[in-house]
Amino acid sequence: MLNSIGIIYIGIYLLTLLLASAELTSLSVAALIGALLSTLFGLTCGIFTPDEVIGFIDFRVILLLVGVMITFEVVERSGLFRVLALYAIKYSRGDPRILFFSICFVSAAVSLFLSDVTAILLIAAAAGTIARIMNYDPVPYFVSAAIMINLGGTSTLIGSTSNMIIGMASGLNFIDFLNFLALCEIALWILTSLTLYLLYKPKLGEKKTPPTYDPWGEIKDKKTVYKAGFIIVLFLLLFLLYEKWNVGPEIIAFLCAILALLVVDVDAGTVFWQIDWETIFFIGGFFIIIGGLEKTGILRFLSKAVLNMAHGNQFIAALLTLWSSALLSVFVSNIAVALTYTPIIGIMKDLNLNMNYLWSALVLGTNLGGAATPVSGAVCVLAIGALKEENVNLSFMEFSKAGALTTIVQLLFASFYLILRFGM
Amino acid sequence: MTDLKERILKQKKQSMERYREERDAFEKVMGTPKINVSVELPKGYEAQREEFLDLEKEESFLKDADKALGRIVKKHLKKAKKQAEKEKSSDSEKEDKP
Repeated sequence: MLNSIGIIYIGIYLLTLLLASAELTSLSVAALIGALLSTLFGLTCGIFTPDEVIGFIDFRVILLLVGVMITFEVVERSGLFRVLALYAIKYSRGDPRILFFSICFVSAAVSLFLSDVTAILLIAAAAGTIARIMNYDPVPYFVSAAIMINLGGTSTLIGSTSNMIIGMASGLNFIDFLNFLALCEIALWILTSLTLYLLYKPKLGEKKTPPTYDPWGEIKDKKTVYKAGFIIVLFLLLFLLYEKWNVGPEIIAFLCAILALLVVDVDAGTVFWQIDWETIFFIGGFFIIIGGLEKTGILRFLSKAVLNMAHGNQFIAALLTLWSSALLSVFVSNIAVALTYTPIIGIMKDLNLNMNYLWSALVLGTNLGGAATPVSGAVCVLAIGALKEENVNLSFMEFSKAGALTTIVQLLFASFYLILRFGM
Repeated sequence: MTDLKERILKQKKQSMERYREERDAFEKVMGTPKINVSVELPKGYEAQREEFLDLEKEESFLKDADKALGRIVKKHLKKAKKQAEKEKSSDSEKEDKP
């Protein structure tokens, strides 16, 4: 089935993953090297034309991602999420159990909008400060925040980059995501925070007198925060309604980005500087690698292999998708996993299968595998880095104990949910 | 794995700077606020440039600086408090006058 060109393309794909996951070079450079090799081989061997190479890149995904990044970078700069985190800490009234659950739920809620990297830096800073003031062990709060941030946004189109990729490839809109996965995400928030609570209960510390402060204390311009709140509400409303206007989510995201820059008083140049170009270039490069793989027929071969393993049963195919994509996401970027799996799943659409079942399984798998070990995702790496700033060295095993346990609990529940939601 | 973790952390240096900024912002609201004072190399000590820069990491220097600055800060805060009280009382005197 595999010819020499196919083997070369698998080699390019694996080389890119190796470079990226072993951090031998940055994610974007790894993907660009892979894209360059893929293009050179494709063009010289006549597998595709230069025009087709450009066509491999789904610019709707890039536009959606940039639009969402700009909008929420502006919102974050207003201080809105900082105020939210300060309120959550204030209302825990010095009770470490309430503080723990507050941090868990605020982490997940904030990551509905912010990128995982921005969210963990914000929440870890809040948790680190209160832990120092109250003399608590910061480990339970930092690790739980990382795991909850990875989980937050699983059920929304804009909740994670992998969701945007899957959403654009599958045609699932914002409402479809909520319809298929919102209940599962809510249940997973509760289940995961309870698991983490049971794990860290003895380390949370005792009830103490909390510091008294005004959460709005450092906000110089309250109007900017209100405007940022208005942008979020507008963003959500437009995302709920865009299907009716026959426009794509990328147009809405860009519209919101422009509105945010116009309404909220921030420097546009600084906002553009903060955009995660690393991820954007990584996606662009990886699209070309996957396009090459698709052209060689390898993905069709893999798709058939999955169906053969599942004996044509959609329930088994969905479970295979869920667990294999989650397992892969533990070791490589979940963006790469989403980009690889979307064409494999997409090929199955001609068969008599419930595609929503398979897409939902893929969304859950790519999201849930991202916090099993300290190197599963940027959010875990940064949580450990932030702990180091607080003079705490967390070992690989210590993080993995919480990460792997919650990932297994989440995947078991997700399997159960998929059966309940879509049947056997 | 520890090597890999260390290498990744090194690459995330910029993010850690953002973390410190965020932490300072939270510290200002919840904890003890801080201000930064920069100190220049005094004239006549140009030859000791390296030693001057090393002071930033020297514990005994930081302790002495903290003590000395603490005295100066207290002095200035007391002065500011007195000034504010003076202004308040002169304002109320003005209001009392018909």
